[in-house]
Formats: sequence, C-alpha cells, structure tokens
Amino acid sequence: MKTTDRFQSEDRVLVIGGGIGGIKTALDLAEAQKQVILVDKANAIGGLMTLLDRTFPTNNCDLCTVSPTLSETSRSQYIDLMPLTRLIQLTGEAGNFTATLATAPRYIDLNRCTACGECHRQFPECVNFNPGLDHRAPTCMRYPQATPQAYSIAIDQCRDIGALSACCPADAILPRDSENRFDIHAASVVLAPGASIFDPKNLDCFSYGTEPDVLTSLEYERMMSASGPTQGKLVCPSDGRTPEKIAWIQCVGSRGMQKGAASYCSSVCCMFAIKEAIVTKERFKDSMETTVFYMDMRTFGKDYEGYYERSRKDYGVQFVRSRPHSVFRKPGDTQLTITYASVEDSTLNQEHFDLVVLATGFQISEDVRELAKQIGVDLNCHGFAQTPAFHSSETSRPGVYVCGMFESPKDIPETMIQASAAACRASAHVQAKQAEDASDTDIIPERDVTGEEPRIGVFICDCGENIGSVIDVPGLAAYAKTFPGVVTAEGVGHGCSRESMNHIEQTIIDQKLNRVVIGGCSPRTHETRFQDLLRRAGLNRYLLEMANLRDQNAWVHANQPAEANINARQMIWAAVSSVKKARALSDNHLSINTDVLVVGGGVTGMTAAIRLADQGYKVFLAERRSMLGGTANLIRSTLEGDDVQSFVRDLKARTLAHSRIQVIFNAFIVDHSGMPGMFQTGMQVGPRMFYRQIRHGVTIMSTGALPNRPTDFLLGSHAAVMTQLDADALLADSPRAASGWNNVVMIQCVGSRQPGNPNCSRVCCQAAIKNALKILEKNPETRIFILYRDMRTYGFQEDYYRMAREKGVIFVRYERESPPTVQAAGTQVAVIFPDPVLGRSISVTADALLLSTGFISDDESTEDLSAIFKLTRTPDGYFLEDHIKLRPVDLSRPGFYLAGTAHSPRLIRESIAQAEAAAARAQTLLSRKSIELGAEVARVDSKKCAACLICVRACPFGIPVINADGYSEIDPAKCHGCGVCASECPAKAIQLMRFEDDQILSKLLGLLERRVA
Amino acid sequence: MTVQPIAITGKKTTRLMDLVKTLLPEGGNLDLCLTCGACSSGCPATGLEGMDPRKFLRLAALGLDEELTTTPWVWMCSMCQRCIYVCPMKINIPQLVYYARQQWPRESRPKGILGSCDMALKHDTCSAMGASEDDFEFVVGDVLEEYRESQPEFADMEASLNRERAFFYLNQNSREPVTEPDEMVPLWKILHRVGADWTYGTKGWAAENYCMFLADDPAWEHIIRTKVKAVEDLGCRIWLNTE
Repeated sequence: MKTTDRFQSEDRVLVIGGGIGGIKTALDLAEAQKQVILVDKANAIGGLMTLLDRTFPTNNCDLCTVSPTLSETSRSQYIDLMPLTRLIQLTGEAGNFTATLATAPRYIDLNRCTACGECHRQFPECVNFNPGLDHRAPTCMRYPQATPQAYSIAIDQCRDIGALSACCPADAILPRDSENRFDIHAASVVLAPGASIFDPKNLDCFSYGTEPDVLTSLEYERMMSASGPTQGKLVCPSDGRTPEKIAWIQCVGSRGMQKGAASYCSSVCCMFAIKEAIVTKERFKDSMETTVFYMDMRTFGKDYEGYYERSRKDYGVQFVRSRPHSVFRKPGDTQLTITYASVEDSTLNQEHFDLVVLATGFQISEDVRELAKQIGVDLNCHGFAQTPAFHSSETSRPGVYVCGMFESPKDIPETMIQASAAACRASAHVQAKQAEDASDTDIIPERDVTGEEPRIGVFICDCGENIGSVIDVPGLAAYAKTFPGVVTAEGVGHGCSRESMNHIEQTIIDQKLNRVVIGGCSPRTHETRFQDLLRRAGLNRYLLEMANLRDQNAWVHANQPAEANINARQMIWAAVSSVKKARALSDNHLSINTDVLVVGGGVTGMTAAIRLADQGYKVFLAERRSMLGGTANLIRSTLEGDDVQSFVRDLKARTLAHSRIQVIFNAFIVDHSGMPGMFQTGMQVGPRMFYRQIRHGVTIMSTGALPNRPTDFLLGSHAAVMTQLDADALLADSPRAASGWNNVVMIQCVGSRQPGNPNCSRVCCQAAIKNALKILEKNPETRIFILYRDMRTYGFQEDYYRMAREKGVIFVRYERESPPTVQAAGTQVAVIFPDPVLGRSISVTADALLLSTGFISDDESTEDLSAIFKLTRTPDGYFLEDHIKLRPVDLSRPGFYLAGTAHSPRLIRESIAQAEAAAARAQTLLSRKSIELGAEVARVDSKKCAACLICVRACPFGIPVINADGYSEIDPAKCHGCGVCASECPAKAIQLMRFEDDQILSKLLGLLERRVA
Repeated sequence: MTVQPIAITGKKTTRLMDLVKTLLPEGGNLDLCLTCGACSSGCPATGLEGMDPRKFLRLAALGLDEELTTTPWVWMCSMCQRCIYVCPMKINIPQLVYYARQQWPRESRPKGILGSCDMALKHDTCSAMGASEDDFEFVVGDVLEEYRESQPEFADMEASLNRERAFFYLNQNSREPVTEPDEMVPLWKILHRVGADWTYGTKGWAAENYCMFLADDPAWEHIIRTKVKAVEDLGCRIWLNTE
C-alpha cells in the first residue's frame, strides 16, 4: 500500500465497490492516468462475477475472462486498492470531498502473507470458499486468482488463536489487528456497491430451504464451477446422485407483489437461466433434460435473441410458458414434483425433476441503502439510486456517480458500459497526473541473451480441472525435461495466480533461463501477463512461447485422454522447438494526435463530443445530414414522461456553441488511413461535395440505426395504421388526437424477431406502454389491446407495464407463426387474433392500429463505413464490438469506439451512457503521450529485394513503398503486422518479426516430427 | 369452442369485473393478470368443465359476462385460496368466483348447497343437517358420559352446554353429532388437558355456513347474526369456530 500523504491531494476518484463495475471504472480512470482509490468491503475484489461458472452469450469461463482484469487492477500504479474497507461518511462537495473510510481488521499482514495456504490446511474444518453452499471459515480466499492474493481470518470463528498464529510460516498473522479509520480527499466518487440476491425462502411454495435439491441460480453456478464446492461436479445435494432432469423457474423474487418479491424485472435472469441450461446440455448431452418455466422470455440484448434460438434448436433446451404453482417432494419419492398448467388447454401437468433451480432476482441490501442515506444519495421507490431522466450515472448529489446494479438491475455488458460512463463523468473533476516515472532501479535491466545456448524453462498449468482433469501434468513436465535445451520443467497449478507467477519469475532468475514456454491457456487472454513476467525477470518479453494446452487440447479432446496426452507432448515439443529461435525484439513507439473524430451527430455523437471537448480535446463531429439530433428528433417524451425535445434542443445548442467542437454537416466519409493516434479520414462535405481530410487520434462511431418501417399490416396504405413513433408525435402535437378512439390495437415485434431482422428491437415494448398510457390519459374510456410475443419491459419499466394493466389495457400474446390479420373496414381496421388463454379468436374494430416497428440497422451506411474503416459487423448490420461481454464499446480495431444504436437498439438514456463510455475509453488512448506499436512488424532485407512491387500491391494498408535506393521500405510505425507481404514476397526478402521463417519452420517441425515416447 | 370470433367494437361497456373491483380492497388486483398460469398450475378444479382460474379471469377481463356468470365451474371452486397464495399479482380470484356465483338465480344454484343453506335457516341451531337443540344436547351428554366411564383418565372431562361466562364459545360442525359423534371427542380432550374454559350452546352451535358457499349474502348474514347472538347471550369472551 502506498503512503497516506498521497491521499491528501484532491485529484483522485474514490470508487466504492470492487465488483466488475467498480473495477472497470477504476481501470478506465487509471488508463487515462487519473488516480483512483478502490474500496471494497470484502477481502478480495471481484464481486458477483467471480462466483459465476460461465457467462452468456459466449459461454466462456468467467474467471479466465475476468482474472487478467483483476490482476491489472492490483498492479496498476494509479490504483490504491483497499479491501475490507467501508465508506463511513462523505463531507464537502464536488471537486473537494473528504471521505471517512474504515478498514476492518484482516488479522493478516498483507506484506508478509504469501498465500501459501498453511493456515487453511491446518484449520480445514472451518474453511469457507464458497458463499451459500458451505460452512464458515477462519480464513477465506474465494478463488485461486484472488486479488489481493492473501487470506483473511474471521477471528470470532477461531477457538485457538495462538495455534493459528503459530502455524503461519511467514509469521503474517496479527491476532491483535484492529479497525483503522481515516480520512482521504477525493474530487469525485463513484458508487458501485452492487446488488444482493433475493432470498427465495419467503416464497414457500417453491420449498427452497426445506428441499435440498431446490437451488438458487447462484448456487447452481457455484456447483458447475471448477472452483466451486463440488469442483464442478453436478450432483443432487440430497443424496449425491447425478441429475437427469433439471427445471428452471423464472421470475423468483422479481415481477411480483407478494412475499417480499420486487415489482421490477431483474433484467438478466432469462439470459442466465438459458446459459445455465446450455452449459448443462453441453456437458451432459442427451443424458440430461433441461426445462425452463417462464412468463416472458426477455432476451432483449445484442444478439441475445439468437442465443435463445440456439438454446432451443441446437441444444434442445425446452421452454414452457407457465409459472409452476409449487415444488414439492411426494412422500417416498426421490424426485421433486412440479405441477403446471398448459396454455393450449385447461389441463394440469405433473412432471418430476431431480433439481429445481430458482432464477432469483436482485435487490438492494439494507447496508447499501444505509450507505446511500449516510452520504445523501436519494433512492428510488425500489431502493436503487435515483438518477435523472437522461443521465443514468448521475446521483442526486453532485460529484457522486453510480454504476452497475445499484442504478438498476443489469447484465455485465451494460455494467461495463455504465462503469466507463461513470469513469468519464467522475474524471471531469480530476486532473490527469503524469505517470511517476517507473524508476528503473526497481526493475531488473534487460539481459542480452544473444549467442547464449538455449536455457529453456517449461511451466505447465493444470488450470484447476480445465487441463489437469485430462492431461497428466507431472508426467508431461517430466517428459519435457528430457528435451535438449530444457533446463527445468514443472507443473505450476494455476500459472496465472500470483503465487505461481512469483515462483516462475524467481526460477527464471535463479536458473538463468533465457527462454520460457508456458503450457496453459490462450495467448489471447494471458500472453501479456507472462510477457510482463519475463520482463520483470530481466528477459526480453518476446523470448516466450505459449502452448495452448487448454483450448486446443484439453477442452476439445476431454473424452480422449490418451490421445490428448500424446498431443500435449507434441505441442510442448513444438513450443520448445520454436522458442529456441525466438529473438529479443524492441517495441515501436509513436507520438499521437489527440483530436477526435465523432461520426454521427445524434444524441450519442453529441454527448460523446461534448464530454471529450469538456476535457480539453478538439472534436470533429461529422454528420451526413444537415441537422443534428438523429432519431431523437422524432421522439416527444420518454416512458417516464420526460421531455425529449427540450433535452435535444439544449444538447444541440451546447454542441454548436462549444469552442472545441467543429460540426461538419453533410459529411460523407470517403477514405481513411493511418493507425491509432494518427488517423486521416477523408470526407466530401457540403452541397458541393468538397473534399476535406481530418487528422485525428481516435474515432467514435455513433452512426445510429434507422426506425424500421415495413409495409406490413397496411402501414402506409391505411390512415388508421401508424408506427409508435408516429403515434408519439400525434399524441403530443394534436390535443384531440385520441378523443374519438374507442378501440385501439397495438402489434409488437413488427419487423423484429423475424428473418431479416432477427433481434429484438428492445425499445418497442416500453414505447407501446408509453403510448397506451398517454391515450388513456386523454381518453380513459378507450379500450386498448396490445398483441405481443413476450413483454420485455425490463428493469423498472415493469412498473409501467403493471400500470397499463391496472388502467385496463388488455395484453394478448401471439406466436410468430400465427400473426394477427388486419383488414380495412372503412376508416377503421378490423384486427383478428387468437387469444391463447381462451383458445378463441377476437375481432376488434379498431380506430387506430399502432405498430411497434422498432429499429433496423442502417445497413447501407454501416456497410460502406465498415469497408472504409475496416470494421467488422454483425450479420444484421450493426457494428461488432471487440468483446461482447467485457469490451462493449471498444471496436476490434484499436482507436475505434462504438456507441448508441449503431451498436444495437437502445433507449436514449442507454445511448447516452454508452456515449460517455466511449468518451472514457477514448481518453484512455488520448491521455498517453505516445503509443506502443508492438514489435510484430515486417522487415525487408534490401539485399534480396527485387523491387517487384508485389508487397506494394498486396498490403491491405498501403504501407510499403519503393524508396530512392530502389528497394521496398516498410515503415514500422505504420505496419499492422498482418504478414501478407511476408507470405507474398517471391524473393523471401520480407520477414515478419516474431514469426520469421526459421521460427515457424522449427515450430512445425516440432509439431510434426514423430516424437512419441 | 366457439368458432365465431369474440367481436369487440364501439364504446367500452361496464363489465361485471368493474363492479366486483369496487367491492374489493385494491380492486382485488383483478386487472393485473400476467396470464402466467400459476393459479391454474395449482388449482384442484383446473380442467373441470374446460375451465381453470386463468381462463375464468380472462373471461371477466374481456367482458364475456354471459359465460362468466353461467359456467357451472364456479361451484367446483372450493375457495381454498391456493391461487391467490401464489399469484405474483395477488389477484383475488376467489372473490371473483364468489360474485359470479351471486349472478345465478337462487333456485338454479346447486341443490346440495341450496338445501343445506335453507335447512340452516329453519333452525336457531343453524344446523345444515337440521339437528335440533334437543338432539345436540342429548348426543353431547351421551358421548361425554360414555368416555368418562370408559377412559378413567378423562373421568372429570367437561363438555358443558349453555354455561354462562365461559371463556370460549365453541361451534361444532353438524356432521359430527349427527353421523360421527366420536369425532367430537379429540378436541374435547385437548381443551380438557390445557384447562380451557369452554362451552357449547344449544343455539347457534352449528359451525358450517352453506349460505356463504351459496353466495346468498342476506342468508349468510342471518346465520352469522344468529351465532353471534348466541355467543353474546351467554356472555362468552371468545367465539371459536372450528370450520
């Protein structure tokens, strides 16, 4: 921990809560060179996400995606991490807060603890790893990659403190440790305390707490997780048998009015239940039956509809639209019984299940409400942070921001977006601090290994069960030791845990290794960490080779262990062969242009522009039309009744008046080149299409989507038929609009959730409810029918859905296969549709038919822009971000960020959060003085070059030029390292550094040479 | 199943459900249905007469009052409250059933319930089986004597009738004294063991109230008032109705 006098400067942000949201906020701030204090009441950061087994929709192992992030947190020089710490009091004001913090005693000296686990081994009877499924413990570390990597002790659980203290070889136990209270200064605060999980004991009909085979989703996740209480073995807690039939029950503790349930929708349970069912099916195939009982399937996020479809079609997960009455075990039965009604006819079905998983929702705990009260942050009626209409990260106290579940229930991508948005807002109060030059004194200087005989160290991870359950790690290490050049080879458990990293580092130094092979996971997620390790140990970072034993072997060949073990030996041999040829390389650096190009001048683009301009950056805002505002120009009010037009007017005025924003109207982007930190984008501008080129360091894509307008259901050919957007304007602009409407019908999912536009448009359910309430406000006697496939009023929108029913709106479900029929009937239209509950047709003679047509991607312009900027798109024409879960606003091309409906359909408020997130992400690049280009660049051997021009033509980025000396020259600052030129060059004059021919050949040789012992 | 679509046209008309809403606290939440089916998933009467609670509520919501007030399903509901207990929206379906019953002409309601109500109305005992004051007094005395003799540990057990100022006034379902007299005894024993101060009365002793199930409000009220008067006349503190 750093010295406390640093805490007396105001130039820092205080982040409360070390879950995935708080971590993301802290990392974004740190990357933008702002000081952060991250406090968490738990003894290690990570929050809820580290308890999950896998996450949707990628079904990745959470620990693997999150743990590099967690360790980045601990090593970042801008972040002071304070575990076991609570915020007690907050005085002062934005820019100048004083926070009183209290750190609970850990009873362990962090500077001494090596996380060896001796205390844990000697007191196993009371060790707790997994909240919810096992017993309490004196020492508690939740998972092997925990940050900080140290245990903590629950002193009240310990009977013999003397013995416990004595068992620690590092003498790190402090029995007389006590709470430490202190004040720190901060310019702004971000609250990310998270939510807690509904306790389903109250809903006694589901027998939770009385039947051991009824679990919450989180308990199920823990059981499926390799670091969980059963090491990933799925069993029925009642008798240890392997289940064959599992049921999920949705909306437990959400969307209710009884027994402590919350009235809102918890937004994520549909997706996590589908994920749990898919992962279960993946593991058990046809020997497992999975059934999800649900009310409405709320898969409204980006590409979530496809995930839902795949779960049914590819995995055979069954979905039953029915809420079971109760779960019980009949006397003498081993299985649980569920009774449920079918919609098709009035019959009662009974089915037996081995496990029942309750998809429990989220609530804000008493202590978080207390914290909010303590620091003067208003809460809404559900106990979540009250935020203004359009700014989801602002609380009622200026300078205090919020992100994650505490604002509203949300999934990981939305949390990441809001966390970045909060970082953007909080950073406005703080000055960037130049990095204290990492004094070279505490880093070992890089050792020149040229000419040395290879001294290779091979370190093999078991990655818990991931590799260890298939591959014989000790055997493989012993085998690797026999390879020529290998000095040491050993198993290292979780190689990415701090303990193992330290061990590897020390081994490199002690054994004077000059090459390292890691047999473990994917270089994509972990290579940088091991490269950093090499550098710390005094080796050049490129003297590393990773063999991906997990993804490319153990995972895919889990059922053929014998062959997998042979394969593993071959993979290690290939890596050893390749690393022998590895050479020390140096990274290239460039100074950057800090101007910003924002493409698209809707609410999203304007917001991103203003946030960045306010931080001192010059912004070019290119809009292809002659006005700002985008789709928001068409919307009069929000569901909550806020005035959109006055908000948009104000935003436009601020954009146009801002001294650092230059708006370029009628701008059509025509060309683009360069690299992050030094882009050039050409556009044709104005009525006469003059060509203009902008130089900029980053690009924010906020080009939006289009309001969909299909010609279904007489839209465009009958005056009574209109879209929800039309109706919104009509109801706002014509006071007498609805007065003559006796009967109104609305149809949902028109043009969405169907081939051609397969995803959910997300905004239409709330738009229909908004207009229904507005019609009833004007004319309470109107009968309104809303025909829907699933009502997707997620989060607090559910309150408005209830309000609409309360006021008499009738909701009727339809299937995609049997849509309503619409016929003209004079000035009215006749709408005929089946009511699934009665099993009969209803015919409504409607005075108005409102179609929820939602969004469709702006396919033409995203196609053009993706070609010009070289960005990837989803099949339905939205831009595709780098990582759907953890990097939702970063595009895969560095220096490009994505926000608003160009990402996926979303509400104004959600677009604004994403715009601020993009601004925060952009600042992480802009705040650097220079950019590191990596060392993987093409290099030309001038002696071999025949100046044949093949590389000049082949390069997708136009980098090679034939220079005055008559040979091809490739600027390392511009080279993307793709290797196309190297493979095309007929004279073999071009080599791609790090992937030179001799390296590739020896790797291939290692892979193909028969070397099976 | 009707082939003709349900036609909805013109101005909104008042539904039976609108009237019922005015009678219930919070309107019984009748408009809040999510059609999730939790009610029908646990209703013992689901499937009878092609009806279930969700469908029944749907008829009401769509204003199909004719069918709502003529389906004999309402008489198969036992008012067990399993539906409202689990309903996420806490919708008072049992009360809707009750008011639907009320729409039936009295003479068309099920004979068994109707006959039992009418029988109870004829006597001050309120017995739906027509048991008189004398019958009750005899059976209680007879059974008590038998048990005192055959089970010496209960030799001093009491089952008093019309004892003024007893703490509890206990009702008794007619079926026991009329058909299964021995089944009265377990409760007596419990009350005896705990030293409860209780009495039966010859008036208003019958616990059952078929007039409630018949949805005949005036008759229901009459029965209740008769029983309350019996309790008050004896000056008892607590009226214990075991139904």
